[in-house]
Amino acid sequence: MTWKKLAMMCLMGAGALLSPSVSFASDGDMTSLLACSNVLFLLLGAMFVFSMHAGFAFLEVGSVRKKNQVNALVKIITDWGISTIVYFLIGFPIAYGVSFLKPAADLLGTNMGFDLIHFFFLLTFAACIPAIISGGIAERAKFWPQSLAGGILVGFAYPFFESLVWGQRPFLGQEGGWLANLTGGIAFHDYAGSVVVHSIGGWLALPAIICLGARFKRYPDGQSQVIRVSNIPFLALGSWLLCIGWFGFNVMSAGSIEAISGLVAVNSLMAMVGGIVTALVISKNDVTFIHNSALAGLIAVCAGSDVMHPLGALATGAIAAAIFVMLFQIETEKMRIDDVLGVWPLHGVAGTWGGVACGIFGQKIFGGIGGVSLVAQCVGSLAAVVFALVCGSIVYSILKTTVGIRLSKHEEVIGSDLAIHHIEAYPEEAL
Amino acid sequence: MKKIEAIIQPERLEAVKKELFAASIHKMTVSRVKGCGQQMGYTEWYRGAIYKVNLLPKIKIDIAVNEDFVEAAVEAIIKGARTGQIGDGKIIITDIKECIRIRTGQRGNDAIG
Repeated sequence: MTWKKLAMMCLMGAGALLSPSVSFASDGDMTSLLACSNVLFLLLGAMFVFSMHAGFAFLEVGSVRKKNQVNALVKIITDWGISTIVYFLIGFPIAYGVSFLKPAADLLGTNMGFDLIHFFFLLTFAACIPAIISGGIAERAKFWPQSLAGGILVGFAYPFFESLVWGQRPFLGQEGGWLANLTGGIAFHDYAGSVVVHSIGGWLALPAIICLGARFKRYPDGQSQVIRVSNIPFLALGSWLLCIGWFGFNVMSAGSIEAISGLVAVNSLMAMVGGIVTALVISKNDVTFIHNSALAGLIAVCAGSDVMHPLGALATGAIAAAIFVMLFQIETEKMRIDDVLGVWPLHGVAGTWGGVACGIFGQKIFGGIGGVSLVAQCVGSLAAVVFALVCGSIVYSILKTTVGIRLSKHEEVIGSDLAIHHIEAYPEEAL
Repeated sequence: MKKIEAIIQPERLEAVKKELFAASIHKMTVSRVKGCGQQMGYTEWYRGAIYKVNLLPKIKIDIAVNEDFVEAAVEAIIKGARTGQIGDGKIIITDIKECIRIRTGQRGNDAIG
């Protein structure tokens, strides 16, 4: 089939959707239309989630000091680059058993290269792992060891866990898998990745942050001293970009256009506003808590967004925000863990809560669709915590003892922008 | 009446403020300034081009004190700002000819205290 014919068919298909009187010549044309629609569907999803990485970048740019803004930007875009290469060559094959090391014609196949676009879509999820960790270890981590850690995690650790829930190893999330056999046939359910993506990212970040240690000015003489952020407008822009992209993250997790669900979209919306309003009240109108709690709501709703009632999603998001706001203060003030963007309470714990919440608000008694098991949700969510803590501890402690993961004190004082990138965020201001 | 002018490293400001407050010195004016001493600057890179940046960010603290507070202020600044590294800064003390509090019109030592 030539590209021209294909393009014609897509155009005819689009026309057919607008005017029902046009009929298709054969079932084959209909199948092709579906195939190309699905490629487009996942491409749009991938682009939405790709835009979330701009959100990660600006959330971090705003949340660090001015002397570390360039580093935040470069980290996010280079982590994306490294993630793409390792996930293409290693990660995606580990997770789904599909290798791309074959002729391009075979990759295109008869379904317009659906596997490739499926890879692109899932890459945008995988690349969230280093982007999440980046926010926790900001302002004092060495560049190359962190890039290497990101590559290892996206190439091996994350796709292995992904394979246990969504991929080729029937263990936690697949019907007939190990967990489903224990819970009477109901597998662990994570629709869009509260657990697989966010909790894994957040719980990987925790050992990384602990291995790295606090920024040297954060707890001087045993006292907690808040390090102020550089730019609230950029921080808010980052949150907005993440929020908007999230509708691709959750809705396009349907995987194909026939499976699209308006429930997923509205549940995502409700969880997000549940997070916003809860943070507004309990943080006493704190701008950074409000903007991050929109994300807490979205993180928690990913898992059960296809099975909850919108009011269940609202409650899920509200509880996620409460967890995030309170736990961030405990983490940074009492536990003295210098998690710059609060990625452990935000992605880690709110993600774990999302896995559990799916087993609660997904039940019919709460107006949900049912077919989820609270036991399976707890087991799956806990498995992710253990897996991520173990992987994170191994990777970061090995890097720490071999190449080192932390900038020198002098480099930290002058800032990672000058120490690593030899430029400031606003070079004109240098005299 | 003396004016104490201290140039310090930006990251030492919190410690210096803390020491000054501990010495009961609460009135100060702080500015972000750029300057160079022995450090002689550093280089930056932009698209492969290298250029020299001579002036480093510093913090300047201006404090007007009566005579009996001069030594306490100097000690507090040194205690907060000294790291032993090049670039810790300088303290300059000058006489003040006159000082007037705008709100009350007080002059001299009363206006400073």
